[in-house]
Amino acid sequence: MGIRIIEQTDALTHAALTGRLDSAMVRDMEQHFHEQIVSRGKPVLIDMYEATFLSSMAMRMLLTAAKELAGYGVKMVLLNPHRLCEMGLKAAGLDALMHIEHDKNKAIEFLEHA
Amino acid sequence: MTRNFSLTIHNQYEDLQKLCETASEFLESRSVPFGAAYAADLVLEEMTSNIIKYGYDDKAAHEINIQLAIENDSISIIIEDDGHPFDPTAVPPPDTGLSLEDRKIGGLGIHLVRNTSESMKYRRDDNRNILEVRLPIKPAPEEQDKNGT
Repeated sequence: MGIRIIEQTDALTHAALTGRLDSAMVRDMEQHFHEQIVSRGKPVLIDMYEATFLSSMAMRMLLTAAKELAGYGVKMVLLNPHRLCEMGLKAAGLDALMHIEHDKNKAIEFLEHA
Repeated sequence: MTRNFSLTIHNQYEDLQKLCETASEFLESRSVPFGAAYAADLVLEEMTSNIIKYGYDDKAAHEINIQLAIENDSISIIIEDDGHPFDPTAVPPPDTGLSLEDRKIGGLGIHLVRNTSESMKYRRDDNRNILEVRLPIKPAPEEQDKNGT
């Protein structure tokens, strides 16, 4: 649980975050998330549908990733977060810093033109 | 069926996971709406992980006491620890309007709890931090989907 790589191409890194993303889970997965997703320096699509709980540590990981990806000149989109997770992201102001989308085609289109 | 729950854990992450699981099962068994149970889970996770992470200088085992009570239209959560004096209600909120470049990493946990809760009260008593968080129980649209979608 935690992270699943769906696709890695020259144009995109597509992964899913899964399960309960509490502080213990994030501590276990943070390095893997960075190595497999962020350090590739490609636009990132994160499928959030299977993430059932989003702690501040998970938000911190996502914010760190968005900052580093900006250094590569690419962006990250969060796809289909559950309503309560999305409310948390909005309360933290992260919706202004990373795109949240509920349509996969629109998400990919956004990343292609970002 | 009792509507109160109390648990004492030690300052280790394994205990925190156990606490959140047990509290979630308790709230679900009392038919607390999913949104309120999610908020309670968030409070326990954020505030207790802060205590484990920053509360102590030594490596000794410390007890953290948690009491949870379901009332008519709210959930009361009281967390007590013997760590450094720390008043989370006095922590200034993060500036959520900054650009990606300027945005600071961290400081979100207390902000999320404050945003979720009806009230947060802190006192220092007998060398212990005592935090009471009150969460509203609202029969909300999220009950249409237990996953909160």
